[in-house]
Amino acid sequence: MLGFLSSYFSNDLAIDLGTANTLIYVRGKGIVLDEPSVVAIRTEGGPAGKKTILAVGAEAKRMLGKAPASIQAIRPMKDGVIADFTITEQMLKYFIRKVHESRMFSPNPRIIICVPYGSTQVERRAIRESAIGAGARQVFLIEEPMAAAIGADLPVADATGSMVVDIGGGTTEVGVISLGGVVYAKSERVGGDRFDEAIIDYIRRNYGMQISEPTAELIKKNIGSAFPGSEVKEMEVTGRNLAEGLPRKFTISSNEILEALTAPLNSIVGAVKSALEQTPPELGADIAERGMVLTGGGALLRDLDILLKEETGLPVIVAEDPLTCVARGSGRALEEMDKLGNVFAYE
Amino acid sequence: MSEEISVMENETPDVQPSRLGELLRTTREQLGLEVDDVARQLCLSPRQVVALEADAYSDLPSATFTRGFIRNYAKLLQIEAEPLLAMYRSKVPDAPSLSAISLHTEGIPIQTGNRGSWLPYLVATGILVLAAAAWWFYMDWRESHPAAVEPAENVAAPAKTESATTPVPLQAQPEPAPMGAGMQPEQLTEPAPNATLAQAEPAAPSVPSASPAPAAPAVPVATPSQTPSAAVPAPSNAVAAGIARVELKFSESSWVRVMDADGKELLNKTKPAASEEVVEGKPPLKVVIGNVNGATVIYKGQPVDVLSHAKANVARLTLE
Repeated sequence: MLGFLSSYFSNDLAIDLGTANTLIYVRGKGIVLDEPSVVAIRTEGGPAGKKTILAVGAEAKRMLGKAPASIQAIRPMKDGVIADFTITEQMLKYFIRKVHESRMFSPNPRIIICVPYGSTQVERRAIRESAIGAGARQVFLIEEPMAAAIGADLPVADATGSMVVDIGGGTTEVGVISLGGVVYAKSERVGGDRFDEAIIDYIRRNYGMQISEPTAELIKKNIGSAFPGSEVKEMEVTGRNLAEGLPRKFTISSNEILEALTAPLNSIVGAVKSALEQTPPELGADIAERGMVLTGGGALLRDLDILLKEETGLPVIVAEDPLTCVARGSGRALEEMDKLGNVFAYE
Repeated sequence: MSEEISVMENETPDVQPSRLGELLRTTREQLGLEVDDVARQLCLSPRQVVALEADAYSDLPSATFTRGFIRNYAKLLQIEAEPLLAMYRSKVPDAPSLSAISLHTEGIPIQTGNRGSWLPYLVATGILVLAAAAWWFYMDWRESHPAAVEPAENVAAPAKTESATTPVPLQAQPEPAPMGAGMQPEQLTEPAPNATLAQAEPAAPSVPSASPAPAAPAVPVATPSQTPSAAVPAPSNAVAAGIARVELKFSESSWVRVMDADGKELLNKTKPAASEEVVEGKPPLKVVIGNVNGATVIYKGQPVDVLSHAKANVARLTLE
């Protein structure tokens, strides 16, 4: 009875505030929101005019790169941390209200929110403050490697080493977890965004064509791969020819994209190798036996697991539903929040 | 090693590849791969590949990893992973779906230094301070609420009254004693005559000075009951002045009533056993005694035969 009452009034949330997507897990309901972390802002009456939020989420993402001068589509998160504090707060407020649609009172939930392992104190405080500004009663921080490991259902509380590689939009988090805590973690500011940028750069350099970020993302999803496979895929892309200044179509192959992604992929491999280097041998033996687990949207890049397996010589497993691992892990921490205290991070 | 396994497989009754491990093994054999090839390509040890093909999941890591191994193996064999995972789930239904995410803690704090040694002292000091504060507040409250405390004092002081009340009657005796001699002699058992006797001497000179002569005519009429001061000197002197004296002695408890000539009730009491009463009044006195057998009446120094007046143990007599 009391539990029902408290759940009715509190409705605690776990938020994976990612660079690319924001996912919200509601206690007892699961993941209820999965929207791109994009906010579209309309400026009325000149550059110094009043600013209003036009759209948030998927609708705002459609405006990316297509908006007129008065509309600005912003991604307020960059490299896993807040780049624009005010917009992030507004975005969170919008999402929280969306989750609490039918409530009579203004939502006042307890919130668990993910932070990159390598984020600084200032960045963590900014995330906490923006969540409080968005209406949170209490904010708990959880480090992304921990959340990802919980979401991938690794035996985090056992006395065995589990390695998780979470490749998000802005950061790649490599964590070795044992006994409910992070033994070693490394956060590399490489992720899906860096892949997109690498593709844009490669096409500009080699084709003399300018493509937009959404196009680069589409290329990455369709034909991007991390390891030379037997099958070569091709895709027709439209961009602006830099020499002529006119839109032109051209075809690009998966091998070229592989070449384009070499640099960011190497940093991920480097981060994983350095983590393995720093891992105590006893835990290293567990990881060699079981392998590492890939989570995050980056894990969906074709053959990334094969690349890591070839580079490290260890088994590599892609988690089930890697996109939502962090949100599910935070959600589990939320469900068991009253029972645990040692998984939460401090500023 | 693989041959050993295949021998084992052949011995098992189910031939159709409904078993996950068997499906993996037959597919691998169709592709012409050895266990070692698979192990090398998946970066697993051959032992783990054999365990996968033998459905020996207890030799493999937890379900999350085993499912990952199955997916990777299926990918290598270029077959759909989903049916294999469904078979795995039906095979291992009791696999713990979720592993614990936090350590179970005993919650025993680590004691550092000599914290344990001063803690009892701290507690004892705290209790003392509390007790002192409680006492102080009680005293404070008692002062401000005297009325509420009184009953408690009465209860607390019965022993005190025993000793304290004794001097009080001594002071008050001069007045009640003479009254008791005339009116309520039941209170004066033993000390009463003594007190009256002791009082009689100092009282005698003082009273006559005030009313020796006028007392003789006036007192007999009104004072025997009203003014004990006049009655006190009476025993010795005033009997002749129309006041009769009756002594009543009771060996058993008895009820007694005495009325004087004016019909005034001088006495109406139940007397306990072994008590006596002295009544003075204007004769004739009407006396009623409830329990005649336990009573002796002496009128004007002469014993009276009450039994002759008794009827059903109640005597009604008039003393002239």
